[in-house]
Amino acid sequence: MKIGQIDCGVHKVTTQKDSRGLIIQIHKIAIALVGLLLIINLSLNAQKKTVCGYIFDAFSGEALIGATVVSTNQLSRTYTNNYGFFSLNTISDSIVVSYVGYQSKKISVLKGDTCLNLVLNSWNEIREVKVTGHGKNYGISGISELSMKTIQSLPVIAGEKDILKSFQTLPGVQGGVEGTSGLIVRGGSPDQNLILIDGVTVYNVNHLFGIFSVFNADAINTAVLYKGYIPPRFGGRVSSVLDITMKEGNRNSFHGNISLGLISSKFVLEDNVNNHKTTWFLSARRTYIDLLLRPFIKNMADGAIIGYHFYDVNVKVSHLFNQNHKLYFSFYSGRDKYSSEYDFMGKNEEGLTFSENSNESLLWGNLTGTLRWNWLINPRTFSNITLIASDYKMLSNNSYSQQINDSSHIAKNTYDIEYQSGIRDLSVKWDVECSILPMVKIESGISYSSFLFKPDNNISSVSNMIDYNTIDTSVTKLYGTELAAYFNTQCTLWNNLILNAGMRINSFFVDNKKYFALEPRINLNWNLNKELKFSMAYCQTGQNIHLLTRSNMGLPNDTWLPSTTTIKPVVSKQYSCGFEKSFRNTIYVSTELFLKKMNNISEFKDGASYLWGNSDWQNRIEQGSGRAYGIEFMVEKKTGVWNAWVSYTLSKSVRQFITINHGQEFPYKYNRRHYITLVALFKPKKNVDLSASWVLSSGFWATLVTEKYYSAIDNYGNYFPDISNYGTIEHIESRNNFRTPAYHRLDIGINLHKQRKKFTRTLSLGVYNAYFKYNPLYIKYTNDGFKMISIVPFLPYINYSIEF
Amino acid sequence: MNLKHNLSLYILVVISVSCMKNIEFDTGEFSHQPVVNAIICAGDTAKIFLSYSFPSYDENGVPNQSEIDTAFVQISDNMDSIYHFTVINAHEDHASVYVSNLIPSVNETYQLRIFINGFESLESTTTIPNAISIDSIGYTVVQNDIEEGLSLQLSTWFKDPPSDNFYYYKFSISGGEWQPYWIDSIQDHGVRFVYAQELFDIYWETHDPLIGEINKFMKNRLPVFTDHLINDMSYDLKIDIPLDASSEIFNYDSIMFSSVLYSIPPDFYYYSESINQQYASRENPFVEPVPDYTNIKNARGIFAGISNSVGSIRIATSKIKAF
Repeated sequence: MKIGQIDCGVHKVTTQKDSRGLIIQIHKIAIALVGLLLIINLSLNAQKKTVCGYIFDAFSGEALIGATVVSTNQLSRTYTNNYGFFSLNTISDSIVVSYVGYQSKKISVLKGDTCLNLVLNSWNEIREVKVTGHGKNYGISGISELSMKTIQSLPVIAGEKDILKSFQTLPGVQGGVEGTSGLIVRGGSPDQNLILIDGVTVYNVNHLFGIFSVFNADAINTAVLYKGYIPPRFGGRVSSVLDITMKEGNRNSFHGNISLGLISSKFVLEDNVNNHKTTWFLSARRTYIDLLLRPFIKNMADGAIIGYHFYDVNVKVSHLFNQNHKLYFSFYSGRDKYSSEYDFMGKNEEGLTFSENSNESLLWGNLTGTLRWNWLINPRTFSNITLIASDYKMLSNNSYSQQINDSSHIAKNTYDIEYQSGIRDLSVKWDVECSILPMVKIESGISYSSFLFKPDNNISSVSNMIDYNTIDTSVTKLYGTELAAYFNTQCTLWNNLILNAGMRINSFFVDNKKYFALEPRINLNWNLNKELKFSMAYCQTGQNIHLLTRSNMGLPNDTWLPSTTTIKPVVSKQYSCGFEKSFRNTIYVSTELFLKKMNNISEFKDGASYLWGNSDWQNRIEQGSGRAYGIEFMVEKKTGVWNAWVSYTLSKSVRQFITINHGQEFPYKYNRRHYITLVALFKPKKNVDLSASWVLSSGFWATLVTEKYYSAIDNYGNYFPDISNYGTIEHIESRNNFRTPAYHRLDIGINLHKQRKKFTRTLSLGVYNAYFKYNPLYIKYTNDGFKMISIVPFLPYINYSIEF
Repeated sequence: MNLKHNLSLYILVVISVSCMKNIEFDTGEFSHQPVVNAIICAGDTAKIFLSYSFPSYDENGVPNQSEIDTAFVQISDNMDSIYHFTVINAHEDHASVYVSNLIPSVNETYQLRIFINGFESLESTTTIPNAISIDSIGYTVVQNDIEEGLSLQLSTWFKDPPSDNFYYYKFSISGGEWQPYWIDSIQDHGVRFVYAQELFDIYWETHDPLIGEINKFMKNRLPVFTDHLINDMSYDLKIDIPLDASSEIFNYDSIMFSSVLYSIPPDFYYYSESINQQYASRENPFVEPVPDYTNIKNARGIFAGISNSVGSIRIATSKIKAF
């Protein structure tokens, strides 16, 4: 197949014969793009003065991501990347560096090409809060960001600061089931969000079935959510990208934080060595609710030991070789484990000694690692090469043994059943940024990913009294390869009009099938004046892997699977436009309209079981289309002792499949027509933070059977008009035919800080669901009709931390 | 220790106030809806069954049927002939039975209209497809997959026409002089989908791609299938009876194998499939719910015209033994 024959955005299946040629062509395109950048860059090298460098926080030395760098003549503008790097071509003699929550700085650049290391001071020294961070936009639209200080201030369930739940307070982002971390972004499903930590995909973001996210807020530097224009450097999911960057470690001195919470504790340590050239960061968190509750559970469960815990560890090391070369290593490991153990010893009816032992365990978690090499080729060209490994695994084990001691021999029965599923992803990426003109910045890159899917692996062994042993092994492995190249151009067409245009070229190879897609993306931001901005965007995205899930609660048996011959990649096209108006740099009002069309989204067929069974998973899946549209509003007050925002999303999200629901359109489970959040942060004193958040939304949808009738066809498939042996049919008008009542909840919290000589201690108190609202978790059928089950009507928390 | 004690106490307090709670979920006031079961067969007297739906949590909540006992029921055909139905049996359990002098014909389109006091008019249309004749019925003895034994293989041959066709298949095996009771009475008593077998203890199986699923779900599936695998082809539906010394068929001098192949309209196929999926998944809480299908406006149920063809063969068991 020739590249020129490929329609934009349409995934096509190529033949085996074409695959090698296709790979070669994509390689050629990618290398050509990167090469082109380098050539252009070299040819323009001497024409303009280039100012480049890194911007850091003055206290911690952490990179400031998304800081604005603008020439004083306003002709050139750029933003720092994920490493705090910027490169600006300018003819001006000075630049201004600014970052939300930090004091701006003006720098003179009288010489030619200059590389700088700049530090900015936080506003924290004065009493204003200055913590919200929605002002950064990186020159693109549909982007949300919360500063870590804001996230630390918000009240949350059980006192565990949670990035994902904090994002649920922003427009266009909704939560799933009560209290869980799932993100529903602009009508998409939770598996359509690409969640990255230091560039690595995290496949399962939930601890404790979604009550907590796997991200330890103390280990995070920034978190940015792209929900409108998704830069082409990101691919693989169709709804949004949540790009999380871990802290690098304090570049100036040793620091730490120890936090004791109601159900978990954690610590953070960070320092530098080698004369500030090497930084390291270590954080760890573990629950101990199992240890505290074990005595009670043991009594209640008749001697059984039941336990649950999770932990996570974040490690990051960076080393600065010189101004041009920097190396980062990031590691994350998180595990959840549920286990139960039961032992019994006694005599059976025949008086023989009898012992029984039963063990069950369920273990799941992510393991990720990244090695990144920043290479500043020249002041205009920044390159980053990344090696990535990500592994998500779920392991269930169930073993039982029984032993009877006779005077003459020992009889023993045992069985052991092990179930595994998971996904492993090994990738390599090369990204290049190049500022070729004062007004033009180009990003380009290539990536190669190799996936191993292990959806349904069983190993069972049985042995019995006559020493008969059987071992059954069922192993399913699926391999997939993704090859992608991209480019993005950011042009300041004139002073206030910023154009981002790019394309991602994506190919996916699986099981002798190849899918190829072009994903064009364009975004126009028009800053009419300092207080009024307009934006519009078109973004096409594709997704080659699918999550088999029904609950959206982040259960560990949710399974990632690749596109196959019959299951095609998801394609999404999103159109959006909006404006933002500020009033005296204090009050910000913004709104955005969006329309998202999704094709090849997957859904379980009518009557299909969503637990693994004997039938092929592909036969239980139907692919169809989805549509989501809506309007988002946000009003923010960003400065002063009071900070607050109100967000409102009016939206609709529907699905349509040929064989599901008789082909009729039906609402998506989390199609919440109205979603309002109100967040207030108050800092009456330097050492006191008060916060409250209130959510009001339409309920979720469920399929309920409220009506039955008799058919003249009985349960055996026979038609008996003259006798009363009728079968009963459940009447279901359509899928998701009922909506639960409106959801609302108030959370409040207070942080009390006290500065000691060598440390600062913080006591955090708060309440989740302060006014005891019984919000539904799910609906169940009883003999008295339908009941909504609520589990968290009121949940206070307490947390104590020491920062040094 | 004191801290641990206090924390434990605190957790217990939290758990005690945060435990699960059932809250009423209002699904709105229930209103009974009319249900129509009207499967009319070419060459048979048409019958229509009317009943009411009831709340899912109250199977005894079927209301008084006075309205449906006095419903106005009519069917009209392409020639604008109108057939009025009268109630013959206010059914003691669930349904009221209506009959008329309509004897449907193949290729005819019929329009159903029912007026029940207090409800909007119920309307539907169906066209009776041509009966696809059974060309032959046969048998042979073949090697089966189970421990290299033998099976009696029963065949029903038919030719699928080029157009899209939907089928409903039933068969019967009876021993000795016993006749499947529906064979002679089919003209008199409307449509009868019979029990799968008259020899209730006999074991049978099928690996036929069309009716294999029927075997799998025989006890909770309507045996319907489409012709997408056999379009415009001659086809042989196969049923296998594993043979061994204890096989019940050897208790008789002969057995009779009978097949009925119904041609059904698409609506009946979709209706049957939705019921099939419901029955198959009813006991499993981990399945997606299945919306029921109807082709009747303002009602539940089905209005379908069907036609059938029958074939049967008597097999002497001595001939089977001879294999």
